[in-house]
Amino acid sequence: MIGALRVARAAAELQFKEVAVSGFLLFGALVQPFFIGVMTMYMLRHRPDFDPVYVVVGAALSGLWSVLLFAGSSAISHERSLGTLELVVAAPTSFFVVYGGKIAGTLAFSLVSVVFSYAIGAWLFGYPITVADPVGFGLSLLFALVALWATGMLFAPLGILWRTVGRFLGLLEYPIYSLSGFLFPILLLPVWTIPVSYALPPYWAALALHASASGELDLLGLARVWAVLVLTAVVLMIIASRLFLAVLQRARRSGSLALS
Amino acid sequence: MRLFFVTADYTFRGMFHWLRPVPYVVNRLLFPLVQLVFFALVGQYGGSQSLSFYLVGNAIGVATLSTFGVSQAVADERWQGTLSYLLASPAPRVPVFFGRAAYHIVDGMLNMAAAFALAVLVFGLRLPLEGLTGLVLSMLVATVALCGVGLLLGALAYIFLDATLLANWAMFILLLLTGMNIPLSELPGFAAAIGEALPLTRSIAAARLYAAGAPLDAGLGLLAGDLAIGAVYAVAGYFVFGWLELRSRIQGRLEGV
Repeated sequence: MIGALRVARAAAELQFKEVAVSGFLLFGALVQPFFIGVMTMYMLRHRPDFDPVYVVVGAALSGLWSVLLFAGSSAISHERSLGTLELVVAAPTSFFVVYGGKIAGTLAFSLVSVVFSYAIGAWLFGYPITVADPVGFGLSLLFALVALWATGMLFAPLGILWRTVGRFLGLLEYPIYSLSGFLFPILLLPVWTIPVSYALPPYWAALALHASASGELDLLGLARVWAVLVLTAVVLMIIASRLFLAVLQRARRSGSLALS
Repeated sequence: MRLFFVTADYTFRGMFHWLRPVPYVVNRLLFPLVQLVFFALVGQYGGSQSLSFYLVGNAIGVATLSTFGVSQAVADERWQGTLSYLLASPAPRVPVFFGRAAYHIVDGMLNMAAAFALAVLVFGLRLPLEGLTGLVLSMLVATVALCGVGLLLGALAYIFLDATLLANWAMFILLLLTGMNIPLSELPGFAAAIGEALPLTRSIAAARLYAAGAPLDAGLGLLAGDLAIGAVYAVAGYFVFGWLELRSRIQGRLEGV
């Protein structure tokens, strides 16, 4: 167990260093949330109940999700293009652990979008950005990261097992912003999409972060949302581990460790 | 002319990476539509403008995707190893350079048509029949003007290396400053001034006029302005490309940088 954690930490550190110098992912973590934050600040500020913290949290979530989506879905193809995938798969450490570490490193990097979004609201627009329940917000962020990590674990095996699915993963950026209520309530969406939202960990992550930032939910309400986040994370992790096994079995059966 | 169309054809088919329909559908048709839905819903939630303001603005704004294709088509010559052959060929540069944008104009129009269809069918946007000609003209001018931006970005990508990143910057600057989602009057003075110098600003304003039923001549001045701005960007791109070509010959580095 300790050995696995050591490997995961090493993978996370390496991934963090890689994504931190990627122009595309820096754009996703800093520039894109900046533009989305500024635009939505202008678009929502005429509402009578406007709360700048809502935009800050929403913009930060958009950065988290975009980086996770693009770095997570390309992590294995990146190994493939570097020619290191065979070595990683052949190593005695579980491939699931290595990839888990990489996703954790990606998420750690994407946290800069939270800081940056705060700066947009507080410094660029001069709004007082105060979190109503800081402890609840911190715990919500922790549970949100766990659930998003589990979601990220699904990307790679899905993209390898079904290449067409892999192509559509990149398309999930704005639909998840919308379906998860990052910057507007999901009640604006058609009724049939509501169950889809409920099935998405980013929706619960957004609910926990928005509610703890505004103080809308008490501790019991937040605890319920955290429980759902943990539950979805466990379910996704089980599915992801099965998919990873399927990927490796298929690769070994066909004798193509490059998984091409 | 033959060279222009040969370049246009091969650039679109060969250097655009989308030889099969699935990536094309994902990147060029679905992506702009989900982006339109997101901004339309944020706008609706904000409530400062009518829903049609956001729908028309973002449907015309779908043209920003043209900058990706055109800039990629120019910049990818180096990555695919064909830049040296291009620079060594005696072919006149004008059709070779501008030909890269030709198919993207048609493609951009198709994407915008899909965006308007979505706005009408899903959001119930009403477009008056008398405004349709002007609307189609706005779509055409928007995509031509943005292809000009794409040509400039593609040429600049020989220096900055990453055409996709440049196009992403361009897309978000256009989203913010062209009045697509925020009226220019709400932006700070310097930002509004930058917006006025960007292509798309006037096409969006004209499209909104036509979508409200204005006669054709009401927006022609705006469209002429956007066309002129787009031409300035395209010609600037051509000169940057020519300058890089000259520099690469002088320095003996045919890869441009």
